[in-house]
Amino acid sequence: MTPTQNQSPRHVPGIPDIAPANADSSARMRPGTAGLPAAHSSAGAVFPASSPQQSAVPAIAAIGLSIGWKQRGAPAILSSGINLRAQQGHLTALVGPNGAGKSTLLRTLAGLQPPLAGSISLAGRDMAHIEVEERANLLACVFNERIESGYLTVAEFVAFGRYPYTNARNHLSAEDRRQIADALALVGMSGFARRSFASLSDGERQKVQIARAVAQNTPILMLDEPTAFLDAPSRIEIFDLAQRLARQSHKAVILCTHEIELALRSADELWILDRTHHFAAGAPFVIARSGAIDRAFNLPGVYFDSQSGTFRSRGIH
Amino acid sequence: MTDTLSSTGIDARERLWLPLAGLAAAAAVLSLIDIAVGSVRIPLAAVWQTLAGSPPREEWGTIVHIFRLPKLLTTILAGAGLASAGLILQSMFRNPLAGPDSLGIGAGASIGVALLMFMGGTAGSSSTLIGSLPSLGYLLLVIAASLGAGAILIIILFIARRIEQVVTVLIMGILVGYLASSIVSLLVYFGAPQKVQMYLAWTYGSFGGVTWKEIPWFAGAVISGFALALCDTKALNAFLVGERFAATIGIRVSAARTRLLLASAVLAGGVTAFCGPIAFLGIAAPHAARLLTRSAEHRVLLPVSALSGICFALLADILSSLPGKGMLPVNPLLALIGAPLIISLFLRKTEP
Repeated sequence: MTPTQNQSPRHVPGIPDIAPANADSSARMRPGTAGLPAAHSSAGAVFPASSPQQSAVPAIAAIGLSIGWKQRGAPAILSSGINLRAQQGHLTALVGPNGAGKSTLLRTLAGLQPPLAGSISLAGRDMAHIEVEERANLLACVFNERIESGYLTVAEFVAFGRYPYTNARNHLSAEDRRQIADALALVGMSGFARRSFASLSDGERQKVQIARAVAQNTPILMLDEPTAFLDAPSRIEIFDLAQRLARQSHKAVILCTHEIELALRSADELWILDRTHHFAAGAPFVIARSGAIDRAFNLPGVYFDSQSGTFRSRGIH
Repeated sequence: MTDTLSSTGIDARERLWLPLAGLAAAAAVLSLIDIAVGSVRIPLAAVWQTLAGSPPREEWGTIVHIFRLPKLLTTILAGAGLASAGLILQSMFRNPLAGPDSLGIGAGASIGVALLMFMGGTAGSSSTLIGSLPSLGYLLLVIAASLGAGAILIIILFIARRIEQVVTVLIMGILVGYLASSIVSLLVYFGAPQKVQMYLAWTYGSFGGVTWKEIPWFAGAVISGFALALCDTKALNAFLVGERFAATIGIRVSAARTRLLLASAVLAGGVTAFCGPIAFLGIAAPHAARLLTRSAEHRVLLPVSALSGICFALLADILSSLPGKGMLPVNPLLALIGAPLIISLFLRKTEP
């Protein structure tokens, strides 16, 4: 579970090392995102018609999406004109400063909050026409919220992932049980099956929650700040896990995070929501070089050093 | 099969049988005692013979069939109904202090009864505690309480459909409950002393007022509410973790919430209508069930809660009948037995 066990070259720190790794899959380099203005805008240029990716149906896609709330019938739009797509087998990291609307975007994409405009499609189908039960077969999410677990065991918690598949009496078939055991094994928590969920540490809880989403057996997986409250090794562990779920389990993994440096290193695609709620998407190194990260966070005393892929202070060095 | 079940750590059943069997045995014994005690004491052996169809004395047979059996059934239905309603509300609101009272359903029933007693022209002449009620027309009382509980339920369901956060629904329920209580307080304040005493007698709660004629209605309400909840145990399990969580695993949150609110209102409203506002039981019994089973699976918790509620109610009813002449009020007795019992259970099992 340590970074060295992963053979991916993306784990060597720093942006220059990452660039060739991403260049391997040159299909992912879209002309529209290469330039500075395009990476910053959320216009349709992000997905040019000539892109070879156009042929594959994206796991999740949004066109002209506006996110926000309805207040007394009147929409309070947080961000609009968002165009995005995420592919199975890819890890997408959604970054941006606090209050930019990352969680709102994620909740909207998960169908838990209605879009104020535009459309979202799951596996090519309009989400507006997908029932709640069916949506649970396509999309699993782990939201960062207080979990009241009571007397739940770890295995019972992971069994929630099988709810979309079980009958009203919640009878778990042999197949359901196998998937639960597999999901626990995948996150390295097999030995914890009979433990009480409440007795777990924050890092263990996060892994069990991801196991629950894995047991749901969906092509799309959304993780809302999975590394919040975790220590540094656990954060790396979670990013490793997210990467494995994308590459090996062939899921479209979308995670929203404050760990820009980890995101640049391990994500295949970066989504960025800035302080003014502008949305941009692109390959991590392209975004990093474009200055979009600096603009997104826009802090006077801090700048993003695209050479090292880290934030630095402008103060005394 | 059991081996693979326990090895995965998902075995609701292994935690079900022992408490279920223990509680069922306790309920059976308590039922026999409940039949035996009262203004006329019947020996336990005679109770058994009477139930088997050959009463040693003719009048014992009459007492058992006309008074004690309906009272026993009422006690069982009330205990099961309030405990189930309490469990549903505690899990749905993720609040261990939620109970049938917190939705204002009891207060709604109280408004109905208070309006009937204070505004109604027919004043009972008798002023003994429970004895005054039949003169008012017991069925009229049940109808008034049901209408009051139903009105509050409709308000709560209306609020629940417009509000996203379930905690807000709980707060609204408590506020509506306060509103109803204050109306009752005003009615009591301006009411004639004799009517006030009648109303107070109703608020003490009683399992003794239901006759064979009304039992089918009462049983129908409790059984249908319980069955409705039993169909939604998956939603209850998920709600206990969180509502948004439930939505991501394919549960129609709003529809399930409406069904469960309806079930708990039918259960709590039914019991309040027939037995008066019985407090405490609905909050206490689910805690006992959780502590006994150490489970979060509502397919287990629902029946165990119901059985715990039955045992609580039977204990209270036995104690209320012990003095022989003139029954003690049930409500204070319930808290008197229940609170220390729950506290001792909590102290014995400190780990969550």
